[in-house]
Amino acid sequence: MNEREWTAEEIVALARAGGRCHPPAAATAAVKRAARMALPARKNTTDRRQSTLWRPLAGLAASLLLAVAWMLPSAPRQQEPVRRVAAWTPAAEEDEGLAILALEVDGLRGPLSPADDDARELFDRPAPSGETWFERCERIDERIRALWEQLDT
Amino acid sequence: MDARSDAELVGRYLAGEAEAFDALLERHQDAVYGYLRRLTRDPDDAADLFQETMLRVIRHLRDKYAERGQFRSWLFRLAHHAAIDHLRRRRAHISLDADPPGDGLPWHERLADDNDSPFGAAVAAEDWRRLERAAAMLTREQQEVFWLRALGELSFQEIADTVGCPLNTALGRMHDAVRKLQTAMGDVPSEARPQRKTER
Repeated sequence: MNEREWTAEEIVALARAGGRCHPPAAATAAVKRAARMALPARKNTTDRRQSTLWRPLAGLAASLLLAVAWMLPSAPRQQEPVRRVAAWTPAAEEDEGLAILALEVDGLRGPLSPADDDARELFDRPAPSGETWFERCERIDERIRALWEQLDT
Repeated sequence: MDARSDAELVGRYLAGEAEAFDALLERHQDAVYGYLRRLTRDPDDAADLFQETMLRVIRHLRDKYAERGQFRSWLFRLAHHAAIDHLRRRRAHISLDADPPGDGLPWHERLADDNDSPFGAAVAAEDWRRLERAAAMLTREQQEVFWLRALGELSFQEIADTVGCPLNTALGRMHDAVRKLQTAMGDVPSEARPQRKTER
């Protein structure tokens, strides 16, 4: 018998310590946003939908954020490898909807949107799953939208 | 770290305190994401499923999570179901011998390069990598039980409820998993592992 045999407790302790890992920051940030959005959605959905002011303001803010995120990087975008879908973000301009159409690219901070012609090339690249990054975004977006619609009912 | 119990945090969140949800998230996120990561073996899929799981939590906190005081086991049940649905869609689990994903790296190298664990730099990092590789060779059912026990810290009854099997089956799967891992871990002694008291 091997004199260094591991006990079950040692193996479980090792698995517990090593198996934990941090989710991507974008994912936790998105979840926190969703948790905040769900609170008013439950409490005051009617009022929020009747508001005529928040949509244009929120849309403007989202556009500004995208613009700032786009201006941040100094490295050439076209050479940066795409890492993953950055996580969905609330799309204020689409009422209750969400926009997942954002990518995380090496060396860049902030989401990239296919609405920007310069970024479209990145979305056309193949993702590891075999689809294009755009298709992957769309597929996840559909799933998240369905969940989100359930949240609001 | 917030000292309040999970049940208290859930109550505060439902009362409108958004920060209470942040505290819940920070308390459980590493274990949940780790579980999804181990089962899917793909960081992107795990991140997607993590978000999906947490959205389900947000959605069902008020209606389905009745004050049973077992937030953690409920959370892992949602994560488990999300992972299993995903794996079914992908037609079962990926073998280490399967075709590598798009980055061209074989699976075993992806696992070996997995450095996002806070444990990665610790003294037992090599042991952890061996354990992770060995765990990936378990059957999916064994992996589920093993990781739910290790990361979810669930009781065997909770594990049985989560995976939908009798208690004895869950116990048997854990037993078989640990035996296989003991065999795999014993094959290559490591300097980093803890000193054993008994030498038989």
